[in-house]
Amino acid sequence: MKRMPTSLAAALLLGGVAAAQLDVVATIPDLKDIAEEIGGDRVDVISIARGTENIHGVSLRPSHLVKVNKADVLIQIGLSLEHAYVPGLLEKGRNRRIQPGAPGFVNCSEGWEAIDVPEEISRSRGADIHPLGNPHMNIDPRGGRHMADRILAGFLRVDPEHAEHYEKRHAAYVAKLDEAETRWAKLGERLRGKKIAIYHNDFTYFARHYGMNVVTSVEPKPGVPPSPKDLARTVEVLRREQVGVILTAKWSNNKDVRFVAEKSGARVIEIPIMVHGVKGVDTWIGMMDFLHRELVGALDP
Amino acid sequence: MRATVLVAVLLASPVAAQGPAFDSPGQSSYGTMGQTTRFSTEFNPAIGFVIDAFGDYLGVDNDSDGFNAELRLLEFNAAAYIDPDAWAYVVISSEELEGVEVEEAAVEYIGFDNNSTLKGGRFFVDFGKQMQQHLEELRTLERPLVLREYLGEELAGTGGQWDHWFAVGDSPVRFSVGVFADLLGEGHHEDEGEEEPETAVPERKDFDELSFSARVTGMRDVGESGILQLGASTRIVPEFTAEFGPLSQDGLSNVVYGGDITFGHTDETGNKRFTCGGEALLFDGDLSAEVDDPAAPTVLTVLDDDVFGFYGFADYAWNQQDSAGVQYSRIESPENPADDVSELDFYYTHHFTEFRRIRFGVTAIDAPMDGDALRAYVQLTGFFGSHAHGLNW
Repeated sequence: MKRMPTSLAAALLLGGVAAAQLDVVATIPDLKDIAEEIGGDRVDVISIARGTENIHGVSLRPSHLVKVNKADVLIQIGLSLEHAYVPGLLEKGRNRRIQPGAPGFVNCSEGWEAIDVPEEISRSRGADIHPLGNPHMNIDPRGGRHMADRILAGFLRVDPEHAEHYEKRHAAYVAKLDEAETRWAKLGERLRGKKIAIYHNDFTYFARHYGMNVVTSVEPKPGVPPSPKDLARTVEVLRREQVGVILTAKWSNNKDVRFVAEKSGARVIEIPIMVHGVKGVDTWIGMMDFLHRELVGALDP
Repeated sequence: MRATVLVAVLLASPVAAQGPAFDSPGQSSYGTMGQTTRFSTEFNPAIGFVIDAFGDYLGVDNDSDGFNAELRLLEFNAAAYIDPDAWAYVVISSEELEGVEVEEAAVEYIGFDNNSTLKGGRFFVDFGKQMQQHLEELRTLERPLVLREYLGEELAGTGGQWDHWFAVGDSPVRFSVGVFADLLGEGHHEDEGEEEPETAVPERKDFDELSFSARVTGMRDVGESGILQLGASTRIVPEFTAEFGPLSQDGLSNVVYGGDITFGHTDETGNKRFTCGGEALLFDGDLSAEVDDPAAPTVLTVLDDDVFGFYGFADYAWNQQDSAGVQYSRIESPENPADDVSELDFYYTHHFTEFRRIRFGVTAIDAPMDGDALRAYVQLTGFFGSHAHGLNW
């Protein structure tokens, strides 16, 4: 928890104000947003990822090490989404309160039914293989509710004295989600059966939720950049299947995607795979609104 | 008879967790400590391999030019927690298919209730930015000239090292202190085929004759996307001997001091990365030894002086797969401080995937005594299984 000068603490206590906030480190901005919704002014949250980068290869900064060392809570998605940086950060951060198994470690994929669980753990299936299944649960319209539940559970473990505060705010957030999910369900009906291509399998949960048809991916296998032969195959598939849209994130909106789009006539839509992934998307609900709006606009105008 | 001896040896030699099938009275028993299934693999360490090969053309001012290809490195590495408070790792390699060497084998204790760790065993010494790295992790085919000449191709020591880090505001500062049996370095001039005096530390020594290392380094954020790191290191060998045939000289010592600076910048996608930096080293004390006539030596001369050298580099990755850079190193030669030797590297690296890469490079060496050299190479490296070296700072 935040430390403060004794005189300031005494003044705050005398004033009847509960002073201590939880120091929270979230791995991605989605988790920061939801943690702030539930924690309110009782939490001080930072996000390690900015939202625009490849979610699997986030660059750490020196201040992250200090934040992790002092954190009361660490929130991650799990399913090895953050395997490139969280294990090393936890090792060097030397903070027993947030190690896996400790009360301050919140794994948001706990209890989540993952899809795309590989039958064989081998690099022959791709460089970016996740043994526990597809980790991009933050792009599932149901994901916000699940992440919020897990974050609430974590806050209650670490700070049970303020359970009422967290539960009240969680209920308010769930009410917002109820409203949003009704809105999304109507839009989602218009996406059913629509054909799309993707760059990486970070959009699979969303597509599957609405019964969309992911015809192909520009990456031949997860984490493997396409060869010229792969690109030619993708162009041919998009033409044959009459796929008009390629979904890609900011980090993967590269020359390969542009080449396929140009040759096949498909339109490229840059989507956020995290909050802040595109300009103006600052909350998780806002990100979902953006995704529904953009896709319906492109596929069922 | 031989079979009987073998069986006896096997029965008498419990091997870590895979202990004997049957404990007779008086034997130390691992079974009472909980690990009873000899053939379980559940607690085995994470294992990785590296294969590093290259083909090159070397043009020099003598007869040893031409093409060559080498399987330079086979590396096996394994790491696992021993218990909640300690983990261990081992790196075993074979360079150029000439024998097998234990590069590192160490246990790190992490059970302190603060930011300290204690490491014991054999491991790469904490000096600067590149001496802790294995050959395949370097951005160029070889370690920079100044590091090779002043510290050795590799600087592994057997001993212990205490690490601690603390925060100054939002910036972490780390320091380490190590004490080792021997830090003379490996590979210094061995590949040049020169007959030179051999250096060695005494097998048994007083405490003040042990070798020492120390490093302090700090990193801070620069804006949203930059990182600046500063560091200072030293390596002290207070007692060693130079020998050549019947000739020897003891009571020798030397020290290397180093300062390093690195800046890294990453764009908002994480794909474009610019890194630049360098290290400057001062090598002071008994730098080198030579004999008057290697065929019939009568005098062994030790050069007591100080020399200075440095390297600097700039590296740019314009997407996830491709990067290129330049590295320049210049030194005052430890054999002859009046001679300046320099090395210039240009390189381009392409990652097919995270685990497989190819590198094309050109290295130009300007050495007044040995002649100039130009080397062009293609290097192919594959990483298998678990392979990570964590944060290197």
